[in-house]
Amino acid sequence: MVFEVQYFARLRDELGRSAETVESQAATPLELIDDLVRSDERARLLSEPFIRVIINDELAAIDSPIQPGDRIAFCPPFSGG
Amino acid sequence: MGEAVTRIQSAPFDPATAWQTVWAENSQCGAVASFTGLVRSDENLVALELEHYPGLTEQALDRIAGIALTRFELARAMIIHRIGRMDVGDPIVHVAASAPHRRAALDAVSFMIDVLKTQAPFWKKAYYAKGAEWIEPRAEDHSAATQWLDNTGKKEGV
Repeated sequence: MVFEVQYFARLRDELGRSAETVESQAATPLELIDDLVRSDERARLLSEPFIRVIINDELAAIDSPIQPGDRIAFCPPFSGG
Repeated sequence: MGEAVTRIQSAPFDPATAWQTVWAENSQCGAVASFTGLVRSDENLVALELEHYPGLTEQALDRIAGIALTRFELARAMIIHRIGRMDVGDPIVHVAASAPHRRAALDAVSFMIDVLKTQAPFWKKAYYAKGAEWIEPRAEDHSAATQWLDNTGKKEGV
């Protein structure tokens, strides 16, 4: 299965990329992080506390189900204003 | 039912002009309250850069302003938020409300800015003379938002 993965703000800077296409059998964003860590140890930061997950432009939990083709964004805590 | 205006823009804005937009020329309306957040010159800050999540951030601001309209029975609610690079002293965010009485207008402004800071997808990067760093929300930002979200015993979908 293929997923479109996006990284915002500090996560993008620390991983050195804003988006990538990932081949994975993951059923949740949490499982997807395990696959990402296998190819890039730095991806471990995606499981830090307070990281927000957005699936197809909707806020979701890190253990929400994901489907092939989903767009999954990982975001640091929000700090507007 | 009142009217909500929300905008996300890279261009600078004039808070005084924004205030005029919220000032409802309506004899039932006795109060206008507003808050403008500015780039503060902390620790030799040179500039601030604001990033958002296109689409989702707009939805979040619409939802926050819409909840404020209903919850505080406002005539008008406004949220303007800049994105991109800003200099010290520039307005970052402007929140305003008009209502029949002052308490509703003041509370609505507090609600919108407190909730926006931790519930709308924005991120801030601070640029200093010797480098840059991302600014994480502070514990007090979370508690400020939580007080409003917990008031009714539910999160109101924000």
